[in-house]
Amino acid sequence: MGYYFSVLIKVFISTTQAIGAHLTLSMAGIFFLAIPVSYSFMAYVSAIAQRKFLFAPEWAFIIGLVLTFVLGLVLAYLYIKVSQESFTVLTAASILGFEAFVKSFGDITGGVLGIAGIMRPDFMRNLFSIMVISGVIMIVMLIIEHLIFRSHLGRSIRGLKESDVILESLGVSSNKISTIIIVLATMLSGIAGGMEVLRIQFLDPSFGGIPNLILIASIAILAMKPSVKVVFGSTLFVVLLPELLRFFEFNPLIMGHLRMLLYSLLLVVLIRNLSGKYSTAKRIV
Amino acid sequence: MSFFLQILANTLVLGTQILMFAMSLYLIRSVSKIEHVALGAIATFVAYMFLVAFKASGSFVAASIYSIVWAIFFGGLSYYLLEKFYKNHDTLLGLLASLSFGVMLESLIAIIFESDAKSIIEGVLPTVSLGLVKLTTPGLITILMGVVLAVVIVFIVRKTPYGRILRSITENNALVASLGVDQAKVRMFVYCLGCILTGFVGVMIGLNAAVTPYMGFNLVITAFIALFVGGVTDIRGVVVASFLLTLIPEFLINYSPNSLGFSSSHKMFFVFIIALLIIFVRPNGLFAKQTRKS
Repeated sequence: MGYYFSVLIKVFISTTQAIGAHLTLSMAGIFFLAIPVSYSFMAYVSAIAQRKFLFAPEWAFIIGLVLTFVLGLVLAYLYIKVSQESFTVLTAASILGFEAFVKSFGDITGGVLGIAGIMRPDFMRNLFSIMVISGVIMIVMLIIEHLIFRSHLGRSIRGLKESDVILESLGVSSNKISTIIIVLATMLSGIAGGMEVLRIQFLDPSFGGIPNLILIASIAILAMKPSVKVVFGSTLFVVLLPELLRFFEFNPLIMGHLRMLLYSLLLVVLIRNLSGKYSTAKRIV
Repeated sequence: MSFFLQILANTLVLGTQILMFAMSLYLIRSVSKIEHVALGAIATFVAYMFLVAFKASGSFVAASIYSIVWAIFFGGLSYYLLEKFYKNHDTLLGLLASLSFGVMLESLIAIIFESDAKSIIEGVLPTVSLGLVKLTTPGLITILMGVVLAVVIVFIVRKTPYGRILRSITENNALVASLGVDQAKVRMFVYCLGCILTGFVGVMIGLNAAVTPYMGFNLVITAFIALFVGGVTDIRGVVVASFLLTLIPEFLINYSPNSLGFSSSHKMFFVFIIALLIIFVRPNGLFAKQTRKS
């Protein structure tokens, strides 16, 4: 039963995280590759607040959320300040930068050994309660995303992908829209990271990273439509796909690599098929 | 003094490796507008192929030829993979596809060869003494080849008709096509050249230390940062940024007070901070000129 709970939690957490990637990458056309950074950042902040500063797990989570919000603002400022390409490079590089930070400042982060024994709040003592809470969070976030799509903000987000100049000419600040979605994506990814660390109760530098980016980018690219059903469906497909590998007698040592091979192959195929349909700006010209 | 020179020499080896990655990225970006970050994994794969051939034949020449064939194969595969993105002007999607392709290759290497480090040369590495400084022979070859190749590539790009074709494809590909230049052939050639250059670096890393499935990723990301810090339109900036991003962290680590406790694991963190500072001050790169926006 524990296995099925873990898979469901993985689906719920990945959907929450993918909503952020869906808004930035698929809807707004912002190549925000720092999603694993906010995922790990929130996890580390809440774990450090708990283990080093002895905050209660609930308070540690809230502190993590506040600092992740600040991180989101910094990343949004970076997006406004530098070109789209430089932003993509910096956010991709920030994954390695953060990993190096975690490994280097071992006094705070536990270094390569990581942080063990992370406590769960009283109301999340077992896997079932974590599954229920992460499910509720996912549903709330999906409803919020659905409402965003039906609102002026949703149309502005999609307009940003079409042309920021036209958006500006309609009196909508593209900087404001991009700030909102980058902060939102950072927070959602952070919440996912915070929940995941409560599930596994252990953190090390391999938490998040490029594998997490590939997973979430696959979901976001697969879910190109402005629909929450598509986001959830894509997450189900992408998360459950490697579970098929369990039916084969593979060496457990290569299972992680096989999973990554499958994800990256899927992403390559998806992106190649998407090329030419991603940008809608040609219609305007 | 000898300590300073030794650090400088070691840094030069790493800087040259990054420079060659950055130059390959620069060349490919010039003709396709895509940052081919899978070059890191391609270099690793080529290095593994060198290892396999060397262990099987015991001959450097045979192993070199075998690895060059693989590098050319990956050049062709890269062209096939990324050409569609170039034609559809989806350059950032091309970057994501390249990243995924790189991860795919690394996973494949880890599955076939397992994750542990493998040495091409068993035992003590041959070293060369240059006055106060000692370098391993592969390290010295890396520096010499790197300098020669950098000079040749900068010369070709800036001073020859072929270089003008490369630069003009970046500026206006339609106009270049109207002059009868077969862009597809140029791109295919550049992809193969990029893969051979980075494959060479991969082999040199393998000879100098050992090969691991993920060794190329850190290097290619540093080179990727160097490309943007230097300014994607100016190859001189790429050369300077490659060495700056290697030298500054190395000297910060070796010459900072012990109380700060900096070690080699801080290197990537420093690279990121330096890149962040430079990009904030000069968003278009170190050597970028002010251009009018149309």
